[in-house]
Amino acid sequence: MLAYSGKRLLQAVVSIVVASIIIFLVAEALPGDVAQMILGQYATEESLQALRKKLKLDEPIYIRYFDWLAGAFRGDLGTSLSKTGVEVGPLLLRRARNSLILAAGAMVVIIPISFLLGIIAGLRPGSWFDRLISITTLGLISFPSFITGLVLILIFSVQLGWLPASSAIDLSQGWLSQIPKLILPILALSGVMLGYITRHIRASMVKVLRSDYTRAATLKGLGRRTVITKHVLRNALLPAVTVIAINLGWLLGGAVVVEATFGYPGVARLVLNAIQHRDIPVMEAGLLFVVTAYITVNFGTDLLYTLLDPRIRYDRGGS
Amino acid sequence: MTEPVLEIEDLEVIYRTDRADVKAINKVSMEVAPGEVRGVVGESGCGKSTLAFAVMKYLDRNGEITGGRILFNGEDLKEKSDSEMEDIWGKHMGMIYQDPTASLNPSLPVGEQIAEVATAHGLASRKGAMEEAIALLDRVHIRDPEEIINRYPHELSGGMRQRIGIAAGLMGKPELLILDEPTTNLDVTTEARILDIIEELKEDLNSAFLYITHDLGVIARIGDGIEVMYAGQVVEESEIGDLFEEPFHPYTKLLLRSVPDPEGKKGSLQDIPGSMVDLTDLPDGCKFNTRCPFRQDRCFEAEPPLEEKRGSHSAKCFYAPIEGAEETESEGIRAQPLWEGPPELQGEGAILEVRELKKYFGGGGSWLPGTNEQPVRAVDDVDLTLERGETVGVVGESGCGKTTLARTIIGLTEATEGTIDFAGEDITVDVSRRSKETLKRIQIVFQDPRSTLNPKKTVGQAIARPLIMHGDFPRGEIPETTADLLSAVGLDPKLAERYPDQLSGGQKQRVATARAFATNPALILHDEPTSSLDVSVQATILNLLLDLQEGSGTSYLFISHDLNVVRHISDYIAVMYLGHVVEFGSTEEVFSPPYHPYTEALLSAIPVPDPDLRRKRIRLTGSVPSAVNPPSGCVFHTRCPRKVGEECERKPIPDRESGSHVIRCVISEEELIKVEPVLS
Amino acid sequence: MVDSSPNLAPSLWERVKSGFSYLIRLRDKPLGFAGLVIILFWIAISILAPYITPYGPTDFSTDKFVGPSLQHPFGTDRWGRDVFTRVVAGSRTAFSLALSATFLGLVGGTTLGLSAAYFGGWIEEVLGRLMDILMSFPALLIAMFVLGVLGPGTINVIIVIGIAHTPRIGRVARSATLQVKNQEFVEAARVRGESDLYIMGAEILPNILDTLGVEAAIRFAYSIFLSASLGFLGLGVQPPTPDWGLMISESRSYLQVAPWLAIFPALAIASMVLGANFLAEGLEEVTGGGQ
Repeated sequence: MLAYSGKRLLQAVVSIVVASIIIFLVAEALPGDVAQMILGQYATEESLQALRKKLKLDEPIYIRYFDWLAGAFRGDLGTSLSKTGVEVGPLLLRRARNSLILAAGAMVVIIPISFLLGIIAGLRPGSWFDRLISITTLGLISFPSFITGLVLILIFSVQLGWLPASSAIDLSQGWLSQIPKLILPILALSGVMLGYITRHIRASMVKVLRSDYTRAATLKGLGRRTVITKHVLRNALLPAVTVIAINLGWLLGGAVVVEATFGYPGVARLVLNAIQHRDIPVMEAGLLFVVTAYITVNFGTDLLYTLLDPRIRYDRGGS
Repeated sequence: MTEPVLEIEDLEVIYRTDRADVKAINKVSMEVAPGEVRGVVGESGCGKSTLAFAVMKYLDRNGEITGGRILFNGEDLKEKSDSEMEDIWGKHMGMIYQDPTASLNPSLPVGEQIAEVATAHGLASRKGAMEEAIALLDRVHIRDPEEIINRYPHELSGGMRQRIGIAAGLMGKPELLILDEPTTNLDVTTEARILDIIEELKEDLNSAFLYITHDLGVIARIGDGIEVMYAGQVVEESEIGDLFEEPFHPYTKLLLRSVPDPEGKKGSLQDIPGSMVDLTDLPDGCKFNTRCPFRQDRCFEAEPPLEEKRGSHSAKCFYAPIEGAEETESEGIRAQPLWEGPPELQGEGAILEVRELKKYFGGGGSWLPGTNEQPVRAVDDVDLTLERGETVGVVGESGCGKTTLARTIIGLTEATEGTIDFAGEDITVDVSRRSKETLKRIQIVFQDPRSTLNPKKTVGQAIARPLIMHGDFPRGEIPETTADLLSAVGLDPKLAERYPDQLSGGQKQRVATARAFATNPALILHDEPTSSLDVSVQATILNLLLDLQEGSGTSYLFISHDLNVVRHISDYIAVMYLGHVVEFGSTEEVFSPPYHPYTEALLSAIPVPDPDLRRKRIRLTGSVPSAVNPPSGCVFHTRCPRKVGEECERKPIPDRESGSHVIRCVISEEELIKVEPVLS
Repeated sequence: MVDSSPNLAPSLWERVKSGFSYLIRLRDKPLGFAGLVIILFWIAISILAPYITPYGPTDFSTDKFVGPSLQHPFGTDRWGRDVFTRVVAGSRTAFSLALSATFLGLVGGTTLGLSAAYFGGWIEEVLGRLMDILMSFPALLIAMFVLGVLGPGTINVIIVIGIAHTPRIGRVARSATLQVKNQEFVEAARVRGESDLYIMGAEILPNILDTLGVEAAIRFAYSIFLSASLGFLGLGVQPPTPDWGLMISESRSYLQVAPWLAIFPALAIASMVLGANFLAEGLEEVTGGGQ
């Protein structure tokens, strides 16, 4: 158990390091001269040289990588190039908090509904309810969230006027006042994920219901209720832990479309804007955050899983 | 005469599929009385498992009881609602399953899985039920039951899991216990102990047992009465002794003769021509008329009733009891040799010589501290010699290293230490580094007919490929040679156009054999080629292999878990335990004293289809130790019933040799030879 | 003698027949069949596009923001372009993008996954880890990132979506290969002395094609999904190419006055993705579960 945790921790760290190298290398490969971009096209050669020296652009690439990594560890992620003088660290922190609120909100919607629907559909495969769920969830995963978002805006903002179309939240104005702005983005973000997780739970239920041990439990005369609660649910829902974790990581970065649709100030839109404005420090920091969050959540889930599942499966990494 | 617990009358079960209706049970009647073990025997597809679940009133979704009645304690189960059945399940009818691993919930401690039967039916409080579970575990001879109840299934061995399954089946003290092939997935020595337990239970309890199995030997040991099933029907019904003394129905007769018996020698077995009828398209008249060597015109016109022929011994045949089955020759196409004798090999000497072979898996250092792993010693110091044209059988239970030995010889895994010589040439390397000539001359036939052929290639493509690779044929002759090879293994050359999923298991193994013979090999390794086949099909494959060897002079190394099978095909036998060969000798030498104590236990454990057979009962306790950390000295000493003392725990263990017969044991040959033969 | 020799390989006709047998078996799966119909409908539309549209996709006119009418069934946009024409023409953009990206992902993913599983050992460790890391970036984020480097454009979108698919298809190919690679017919091929390339290509690949086919349908659906999202973000195909995501993006400012600008492209995207997902579901059923 301890050896397994150690091995997984090591894997997680290696994954984050490799990801950081990829991010750094690709960002470096971006066309354009950073110094020129900062100082504008009329800058003199001397000032450009001076700035390059200051930003250590003349150092070899691996030195700059380690500088960047060391800075990231200290919490110093440099300053933004597009928003002059703004420090990346606090900016990222603010945006990350907003993204977390969005992701957490979506999870609150997704988990109970998907568990409920998945379990009910899985209990009676082939029934009309199961077919309905099957079609609905396929529909949910087929609508990109900007379409869901626009439909929601058309209905609730344009037609009914109940909720704001723009969700530029500002927490300094107090939590409660911001809730209406959160509802539509959370719903739009939930759609696809709701579909995936419901389908996953349904499939898992069907598989466990067909297992030999479910049959054996039934033929002990335990009664259907006991068979389901004691033998089926635990084995069927355990794998869902992993799926939810993967999606939680995904929500942090994959929300870019929703954030763009609603003008929501999250990490993903920060990265999007940084890419469009060639703001390398912000871009690198944002991506590193998303990847680290994703890998950390996965690592945590793996540990949780080994605690929940009596069969500690060492070979799970491969499958 | 007590009232029967279970009465089945004219039961019919149909499975509805997209294509057609499958008639799984076709007018079956039988009774099971308290204190009786009623065996239901038959090959795959005969409907025996369906019968078990029909009695439980728990068929697959597409299965349906379309006729007849099942009376349980005199009450018709058809009248019972689902909730009434829930009351019967567990409490009045218990079931024990074929696969103990899949039948236990992986995430619940086993004690709870036993105790819940009593608590669900309100038979005991949770605490009381747990105590009862512990008592039951003790009864099925599990040591430290107080500790075991808290374990999860994956922490227990297969034999232990099946005992848990038995305990769960007994927990509700049911009047009827249904056992669906409970020992089929277990090793023979484990099976022997489980059968002992079932025998004890039969003595102690007054329950009725319905015992489903494919193994006539198992029923001969523990059954009181027997029903032989074929194509969804009972074809013969009898007291246990009568049936084995004189089987009446032609199918039973042939089936019994196709079982390799422990007194036979290398030589051909009776087989049953043809294959199981299609249950969606049953023939008119007797359902066995497609394969019966004694059939008459009448057998196609009318279906014979199951009628009493002598006492309570009934058979579903107009002509039973059939006399003189010995004279019948099977009408199947017999194998014909394709190649004129074995190929000329350049080297001298034995065809195969294995010296001090070791194969360890894994292990070695890891750079993470504290995770150094010991290797698994799958094959540990094996010597083996195979002379030209002969067969060496390698026998042992699962995990003994026999398959690894074959895979190392063929080069699918590389030896850790030791040498493998093929006709005097050292071939101890991975298959990818062997010469073309070597590849051509050593072939292998695998175990699993379902995976031995590529499902996306036709039979013809499968056989032609080695011809293209190795045969020195002009391309134009390849189709013809493929056809010849198919005929050689007794198959219609037209099958070349078929895909594997259109063939039966036996046919696939024949194709695999043809593929192995395609390059005119000097040596073929057979890795359990018949272990997943029905016994009548197994007989046809064994006969085929013997015929082909006679014609071609090819040498065989034959791996099997079944001593009787090995006996029928081998000249010499090597008995393996935990990576070591503990005994080697000619077939006669191995089957008679002196024995290695492990061989003796193995012989005593094999189920034999003869209820009158007297034999010594030698049982191995505990389970096979881990090959990661094998016992010191003699690897068998932890379970050996004849362990002498500390000298068994020290190396080296002497080889007791006389001629070709070698026994690796501390006990002297004079002592070893003093034992009685196991079978007498 | 020639007559007695059997045919070793199935005839071409049989191969074609077995190739289409899955599509034929979809008849019994309502969902899968519906998906097939939707996809066939869109294929027909995209082939016939120039013949069924009255205008050119980039033709301007003075009829701006005209609502749906007989002349302009889906209305017109702010340049007076016919929305119906642009939606129909957009199907060609969507198909060419999605098919190319799926193909790219299939080739890359199958190569990586198949060889990782087949060779095992450190090759599997390295390739497996690499795929895990690539997958730890949400697909859309990789796409944004790489498009930021390469700049937007049709070819770049194809490359980016193909790259995003690669680790996912690789994972599927790998687990499918793992199920096949230890089967006895593969070992029989090794014992026969076949090359690794032959074993991977001729023994294993045909047996994982079913699974890959289902995966391809899912990835096709996701390609449409992704390319529409990228178009919406302004990172995908550039104006004035008719692209559904882009059309919706451009419609956002006029949601109140001209909702048809968003509705029709949205319906097009949703129906095509839905059709492909239905088809994948049906294929999974007829091929026996895929994974």
